[in-house]
Amino acid sequence: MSNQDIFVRFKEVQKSYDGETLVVKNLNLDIRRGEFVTMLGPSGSGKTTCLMMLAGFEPATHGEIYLGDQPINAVPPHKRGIGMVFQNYALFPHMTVNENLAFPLEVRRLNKSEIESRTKRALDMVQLGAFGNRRPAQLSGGQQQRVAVARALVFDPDLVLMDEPLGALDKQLREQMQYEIKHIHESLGVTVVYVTHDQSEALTMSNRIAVFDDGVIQQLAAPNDLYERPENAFVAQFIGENNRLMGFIRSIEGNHCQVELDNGEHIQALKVNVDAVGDRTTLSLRPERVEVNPEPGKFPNLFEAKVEELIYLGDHIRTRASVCGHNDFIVKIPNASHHAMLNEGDMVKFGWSMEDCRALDVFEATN
Amino acid sequence: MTNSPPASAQPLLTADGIPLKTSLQRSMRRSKWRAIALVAPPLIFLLGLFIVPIGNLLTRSTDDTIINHQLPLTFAMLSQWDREQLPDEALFEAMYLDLASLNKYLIADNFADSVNADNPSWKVQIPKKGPYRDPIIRIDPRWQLAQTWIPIYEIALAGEDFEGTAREKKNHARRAHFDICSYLTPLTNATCSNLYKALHRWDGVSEPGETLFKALYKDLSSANKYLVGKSSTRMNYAKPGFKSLIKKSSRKLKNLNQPPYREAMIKADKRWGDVAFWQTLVSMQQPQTTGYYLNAVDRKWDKDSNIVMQPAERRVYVMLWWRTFLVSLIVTVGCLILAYPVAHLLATLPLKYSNILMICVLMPFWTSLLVRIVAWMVMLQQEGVVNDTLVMLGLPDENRLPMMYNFTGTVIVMIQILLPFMILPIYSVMKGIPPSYMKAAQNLGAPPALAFLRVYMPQTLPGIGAGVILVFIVAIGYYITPELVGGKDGRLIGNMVAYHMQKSLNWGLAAAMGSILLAGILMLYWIYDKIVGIDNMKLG
Repeated sequence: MSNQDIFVRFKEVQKSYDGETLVVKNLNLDIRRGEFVTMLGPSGSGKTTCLMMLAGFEPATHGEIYLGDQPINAVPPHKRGIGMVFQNYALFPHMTVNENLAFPLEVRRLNKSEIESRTKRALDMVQLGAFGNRRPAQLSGGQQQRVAVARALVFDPDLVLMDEPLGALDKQLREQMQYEIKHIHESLGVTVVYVTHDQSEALTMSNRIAVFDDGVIQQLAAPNDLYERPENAFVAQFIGENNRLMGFIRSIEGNHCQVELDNGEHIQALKVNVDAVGDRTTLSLRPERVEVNPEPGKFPNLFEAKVEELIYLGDHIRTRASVCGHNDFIVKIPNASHHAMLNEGDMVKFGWSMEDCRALDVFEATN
Repeated sequence: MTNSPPASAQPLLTADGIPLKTSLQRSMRRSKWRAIALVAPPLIFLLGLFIVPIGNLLTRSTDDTIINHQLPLTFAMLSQWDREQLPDEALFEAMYLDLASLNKYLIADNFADSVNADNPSWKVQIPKKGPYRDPIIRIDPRWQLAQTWIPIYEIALAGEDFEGTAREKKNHARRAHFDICSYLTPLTNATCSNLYKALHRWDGVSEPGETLFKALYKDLSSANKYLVGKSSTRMNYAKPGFKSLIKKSSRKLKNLNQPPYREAMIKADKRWGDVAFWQTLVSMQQPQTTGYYLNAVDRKWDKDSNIVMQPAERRVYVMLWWRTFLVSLIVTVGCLILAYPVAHLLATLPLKYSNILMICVLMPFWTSLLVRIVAWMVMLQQEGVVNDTLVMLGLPDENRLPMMYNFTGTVIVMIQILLPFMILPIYSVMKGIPPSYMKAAQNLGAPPALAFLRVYMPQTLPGIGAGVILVFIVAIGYYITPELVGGKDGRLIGNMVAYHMQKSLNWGLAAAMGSILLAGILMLYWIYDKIVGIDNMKLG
C-alpha cells in the first residue's frame, strides 16, 4: 500500500478516560481512500472510542491521527468535514427531514438553490423523496436510518463514520440496509469506517475488518481471510462458529505440527500462532469443515464420535457430538440430497484435513 | 350452530345465554367501582376546596344585592327622576322609608322588579312605642293569619329540639336565632332572639298576639340597623362619604315621623342636598354590578352610565397592575437567564456532582420562606452585607445602594425564591436530550455556539415554556415577599387583594381583582397554547 493511498492513519494512538486504564492500547491502523473498514469487537473493546477520536469528540491521550496528510488532533469536530451516522441516528426532532438534510449545507453557507438540489438528491439516493416534509418521529426506524445516512452524505464528505447504525432495526430490515449501505458506498466511492459488534454485518459489508479486543486490534484482514485464516484464538472464536480443542504441541515440521490433546489423542494441525514444542495451544476447527464417515485415508485426522444431539435448522443439521473427550463438538451437516443420515446415539467417524485445523495461541474464553 | 343468524339480528350471547354486553358490564363493574372510589377523595377535595370557592369568588365579585335589599322603594322610584335636578319629595320619602321603616321586610315579595311603589302599605307608620299589631296587619294582612307564622315557629321549636351537652344545646338554640332572621330578611348574620323567645310562648294555633308582633318589630329593627351598616359600606365604595351620610341621617331620622321629608333630611345632613349622591344611586340599581371590576381598574360609572376614570387622587390600581406585570416579567426573564445554565449543568454533570448541585437547588424549597426573606433583608439592607462589601471596595459611604423595601428588593428576592420553579422543568427536559444531538450538529459542521442555538436550545423550549408559565403565574399573584421587602413602591396587586380581604373588608373588590388575575392567567395560557402549543409543555 503506497503512502498516497492512505486516507486515515492512526499512529500509536492511546486513549485513557481515567488515567488508570488504557481503553485503546497503541493503535496503528491505515485506511485506504475509498475503503470500507469495519471495527468489530465485543462491547468495551475500544472500537467506539476509536471512532469518537476520529470524529473529534474524544481527544487521543497519546499518538496522532491523520486525515489525508494532516494531523487532526487539534482540529475541532466541526472543521473535520467527516460525516457520521450515530447509533440512534441523532436526527434533530424539531426539524423536518428536509431541514435535517439542509442543516450541514446551511452552516456551510451554500446558496438556497444548491441546498435544495443537494437535499433532494440525497433523499432520492435513499428512496425517501416523498418524505421531505415529515418530522423524524413520523418515520419508521428504517426510514430514520436512511435519513441519517443521507444526512451524513449530503455535504459530500470524503469520510463517513457509522456507529452501529443498524443496531435498532429488526433482522430483516437490518440485512436490507446492509446491502443498501454497501451499494451507496460502492457507487459514491466514499471511505467508510463502520463500528459494529455484529459479525455477519461486518462480513457482509466490509473490505477489511479490524477485530478489536481489549483495546488492541487482534487481526486486520479481509472478511474471507478473517473467517478462514484467523490468526489467534480470540478471532477464531469471535468470527463464526468454532470448535476448540486444547492440547500441547508435540512436534513441529515446517508449517505443520502434531498436537497431543488432553485426553491423549493426537491431531495433525496447521502451525499458525505457536512457537515451540511443549507449548499449550488451542486448536480451531470450523464445524462445516468436518466430514462425517469420510473415505478411509482421505484425512490424517479421523476420530470416533458419538452423536449426542441433532438440531434441524433447515439448510443444515447441527450436530453435537462427543469427540476426543469434548462433548460440545459441533458439526454442520449440509441438508444436501445425499447427506449422512444420523440418529442420536450413533457412533460415527469424523474426519478433517490438516489445513482446516489451526493451532493457535491459548485463549481462555470468558464466556 | 350451523344456521346461526347474522350478528346484527340478535345480540351476541355468552355460553349461559346472557347477552355479551351485560356480561361484560357485570365483569367490569367491580373494577369500575374501585376506580371511582379511588378517584373520589381528590375529586371531592377539588370540588369542595377549589371549584366551589372560585365560583363563590366569581359571584361575589359581581354581587350587589345588598343595596337592593336596603333600598327597594328608592330604586323602584329612581327611574322617574330626571337625574339632573335634586329629587322631589316622593324620592326623599322613599329614601326615608327604606332607611328608617321596616315595611320592606313586612310586605311580601318586594324585591327588584316586583316592588310596587304605589302600594299604600309603604306609607303605614308603625309607632315606636306600639301598639305594633294593627299597623303591621295594615301593611300586609297575611301577618294576622297563624299560618304565616308557622314556618318561623317551626324554626324556633327546632332550636330546642336537640340532644347534647348544655353548651351544644345553647349553640344550637343560637343557630335558630340566626335562622329566623335569615328567613325574614336577606341577612344571614343578624340575630332574632326576641322572636325566638316569643314564639316559644306561643301555641302555634291561636291568632298571633301583640307580644309576637312586638318581638317581630324589635328584631326587624335591629336587623335593619345591621343592613344599613352593611349597605352603606357598599355605597361608600361607589362614592366616599355615603357611609357617614347614611349612618348620621339614620340616627336623626328616628325622630322624624311625618312629611315633608325633603327639608328634614337635608337639614339633618346637607349632603342630601347634593345631587351627586343621588346620581351615584343610579349606578347601584342593578343587583349585579361591574362596579368592583371597574374599581379594580380605577374606573367607575357616572350618572349617565358611562365608564369614566376615578378622580386622580383615587387612582391606584392601574399603576399596581402594570407594576405587577412588570415585576412578573422581570422576575421571569431573570429566572430564565439564571436557571438555564444551572439546569444544563445539572443535566450534564456526572451523577455525583449533579446530586450535590441538585441539593443546592432544592435546599431553598426545604427552608421556610420567611427565613429566606429575612436572610435577604440581612443581605440587602442599607447596613447589610452587600452594601458593606461595596463600601469596603470603595463605594462612598453616603452612596449606599437602596436595595430593600423597594422595587429592586422585591425583584431580587422573588427571583431567588422562584428560581427552582424555572430550573426543575428545564432540567427535566434537558435530561431527556441525548448528547448525541450536539455531537451530530458539530459533526455536520456547526461550531458549538451555532449547534447550541439551532439544535440544543429549540429542544429545550418545552421546558422553558413550562418554567416561564409557572414562574410568571406564581409571580403575578405573589404576596408575601412584596409585603415584607416591597416597601412602598414594591407592592403588588396581591397585597391589595390581601388588604381588601383583611383590612377594608371590601370582599367584592378583592374578588374582582382575583377574578381579573385568574382571567389574565387563563389568557396567558391561551396565548401560550396558540404560540407554542400546550402539548409542548413539560413540567417534569
